[in-house]
Amino acid sequence: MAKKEVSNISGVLVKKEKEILDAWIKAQADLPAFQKGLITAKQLEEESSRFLKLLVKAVAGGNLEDITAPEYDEINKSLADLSTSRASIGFSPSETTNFILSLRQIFIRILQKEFDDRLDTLVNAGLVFADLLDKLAIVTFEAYVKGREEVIREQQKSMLELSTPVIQVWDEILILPLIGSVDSARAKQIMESLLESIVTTKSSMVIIDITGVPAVDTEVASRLLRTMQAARLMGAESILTGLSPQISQTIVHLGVDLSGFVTRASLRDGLELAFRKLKLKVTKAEG
Amino acid sequence: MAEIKKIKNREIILKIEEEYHVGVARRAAAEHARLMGFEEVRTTLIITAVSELARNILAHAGKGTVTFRGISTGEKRGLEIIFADRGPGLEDTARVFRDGYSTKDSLGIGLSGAKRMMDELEIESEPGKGTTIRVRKWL
Ligand SMILES: Nc1ncnc2c1ncn2[C@@H]1O[C@H](COP(=O)(O)OP(=O)(O)O)[C@@H](O)[C@H]1O
Ligand SMILES: [Mg+2]
Repeated sequence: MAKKEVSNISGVLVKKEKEILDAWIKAQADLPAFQKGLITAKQLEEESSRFLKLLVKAVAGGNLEDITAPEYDEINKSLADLSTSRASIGFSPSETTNFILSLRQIFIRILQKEFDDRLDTLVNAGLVFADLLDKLAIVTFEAYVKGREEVIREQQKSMLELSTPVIQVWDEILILPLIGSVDSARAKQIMESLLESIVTTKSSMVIIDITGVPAVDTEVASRLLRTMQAARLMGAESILTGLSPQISQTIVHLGVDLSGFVTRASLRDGLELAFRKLKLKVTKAEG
Repeated sequence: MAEIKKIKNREIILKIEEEYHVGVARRAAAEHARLMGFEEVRTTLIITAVSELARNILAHAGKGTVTFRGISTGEKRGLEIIFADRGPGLEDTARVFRDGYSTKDSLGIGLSGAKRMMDELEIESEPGKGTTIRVRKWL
């Protein structure tokens, strides 16, 4: 498109900023997100007016196409922040992108008034604006998704921390109750915290209980083996407990060799064995 | 062998592209097996085989898919699970079933273990094209 026309179009935006803003706020007030009361009228006004100012500033130089250009830095950043914060207060993805998309109609109407005698320019201007808004809508959508992914990652991290306590049940005896699947990120963390606890508590017996592990495949088995070997190198004997009949069968089918390690069906049996090895006895108090 | 038919076209396909997808496949396996009426021991065998073969996709092919489907021959019903990838494939489909054979530094008993845990296992592979492994367990 001719340079002159482009500057005409961005000129309209600059000239009609106030009119656009009023119509836009009105249009947004009818959208479900606002009706649900997720943001106040004042917030809506402030955010819309700030965005429009940035947009006017960005297009003032005549660039309506390349939103990766430096004049769009500010607007991209503010859009990303807006999406992330809207995602966190409960806006759906479509409600979030509607912030941008609801501008389209308004622009078109303003352009119609401005260029009603020049159909060519009107069509071109409409296309250019629609295209620009689509690009900005994608920016908001990507930021929205990123915001959600961030939440998921945080949740995963806290689950990792939650799930692997090493418990000292008696002098020199540690219990590691494994619950859920033992995939690589967790397995590494488990191994580290166990070895550290062996040192700090000067333990010589470690009971690893897998009652809560749904399936032992070769990956889990080899991690268990490696953990028990490392514990042994640090002077602690391991007792593997909580082998249900079905887990024992799968281990046999898989052909995992656990023969170098002590196993017990239940945690109770394992604890009893640990006491015995340490020459401790649990008896009923007299009287 | 009798002709194997799909039951009611019920079939689900899961992608295996990241570590947590292996867990998703395992849970799907558990659900399918229990729903079809497999008891705990055989359900655990199925879950473990799925875990093993899905992990192989990640470890040796990068990514692929797992498909679960109920099947029947008229006399018996069962669960069929298909592991497909477009990874490097295998040259020697017999050697990979030898216990302890691994091109990575792992135990090398996954494939042979999966074969022992399931009733049937078929492997199709072409170097450079990918691998498809089909396993079945009958009720
Ligand atoms: N989907 C696959 N694509 C390519 N190669 C595979 C695939 N699955 C298994 N293999 C090959 O078969 C070997 C044996 O597999 P497996 O018994 O599971 O042992 P591991 O995974 O411990 O190496 C692997 O080391 C690998 O070379
Ligand atoms: Mg394997």
